[in-house]
Amino acid sequence: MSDDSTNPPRLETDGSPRFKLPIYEGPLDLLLHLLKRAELDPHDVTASIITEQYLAYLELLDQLNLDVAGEYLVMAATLLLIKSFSMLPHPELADAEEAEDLKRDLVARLLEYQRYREAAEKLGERAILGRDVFAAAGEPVPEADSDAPRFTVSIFDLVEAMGAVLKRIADATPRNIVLRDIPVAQCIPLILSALEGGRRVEFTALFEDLRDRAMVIATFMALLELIRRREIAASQDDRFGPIMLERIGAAPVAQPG
Amino acid sequence: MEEQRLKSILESLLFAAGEPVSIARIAAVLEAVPKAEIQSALTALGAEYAANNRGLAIEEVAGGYQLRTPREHAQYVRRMLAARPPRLSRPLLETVAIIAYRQPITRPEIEQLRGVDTGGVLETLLERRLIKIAGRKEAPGRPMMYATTPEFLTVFSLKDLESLPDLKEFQEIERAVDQAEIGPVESIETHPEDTAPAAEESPALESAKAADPEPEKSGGEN
Repeated sequence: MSDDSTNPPRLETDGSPRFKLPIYEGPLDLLLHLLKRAELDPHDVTASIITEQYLAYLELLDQLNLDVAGEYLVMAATLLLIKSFSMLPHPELADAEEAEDLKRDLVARLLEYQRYREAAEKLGERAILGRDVFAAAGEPVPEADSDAPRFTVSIFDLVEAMGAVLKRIADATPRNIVLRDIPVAQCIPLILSALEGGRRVEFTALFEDLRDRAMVIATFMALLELIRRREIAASQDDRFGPIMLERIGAAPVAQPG
Repeated sequence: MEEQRLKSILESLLFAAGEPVSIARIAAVLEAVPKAEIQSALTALGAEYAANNRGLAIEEVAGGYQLRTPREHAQYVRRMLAARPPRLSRPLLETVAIIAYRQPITRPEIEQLRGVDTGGVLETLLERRLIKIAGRKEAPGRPMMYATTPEFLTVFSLKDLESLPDLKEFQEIERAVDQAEIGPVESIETHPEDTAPAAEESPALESAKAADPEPEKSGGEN
């Protein structure tokens, strides 16, 4: 993507640190998320807008120096394959059938997955021992599930919000900045102090004063780490509204109103 | 045995046991009291608690009866126990739901359904004794199969596996999909447009899924 003849072309792997995105959801989750936002149904999964948004999401992750599980790429390939067949002027019968099969398979998978998602939600709403109801003290209280990150906001929303931040940086600063190696730990105190006193801060505000892409990415990774550790909670008042951040367990200072 | 006395003893037994106890176990303790009598005394006791807004409830879970606090008091009890509510993340709930409805099931089959790696979640579920290994599948690689435990029933306040919500619907849909091998089935009746030729498993979505007969549902007991 070199557009400046005095600089060497930027290599795909430029040696800058890559991180693994700490998410536990897969491509089916992402597709359902995109469908819900577009107010579409799993049957519409091959609609252009969904394919475009899916690919844009992967592109964004790449910009954030984040790697995703291979399953995401396999799904991208599937969506592209289906899309390419739909663009052929006179598709061979065999190709058209294959495209139909791929599409049918994908829709079936999504519907099936959605059923289990709903079942899981219903299970989660039951009276859970150790959370809603309790038995005599002999009963061991189930341990907190320390592995999974607690996102009230979905990881997809967070990543997409980063897209806006990155765009602003790209517009404002010259292109050929070398990515420095910033320790993520360095950003943690900065984030925590921004959330001091029980303040509820909008996600984008964390990045307002940052000009440097490396700093932006490191800050984002630090934020994800703090969420994983459950020191910070991310929430939205509206389903697709602005993301708010706040400290967990911090005593709020007396505030007016 | 005189009913009041029986109820009183049952109260003591349930309290002391802590975990769910079956009628059979109670009958073994109270020699010569018929199970039917125990059953009706338990029901009457539970009704009494409810009618008097008592801070205890008798729940039928995991094939037995357990004394529990009512849901309305959760916040107070949590504070008293300084209990951190168990983190039931969506991946965890999804995975245990899949296992509950489809047991016994292998890891590749679970991953095919969720579309993402499930190793970490399975480990957590095993640690928390919500699932167990239920043998190996007679298929290439002989992968391990997972099933839910009595603990699962207890934690999710289920009487037995048959009490899983919408179980019948799930079973009928899966059966329809398996037999017909056609496209998406949203309800029990198939959609008119799904009468096209059977869809082959496409290479892009291929997984370790081996052709298997309808799996036998294992009971909730160990």
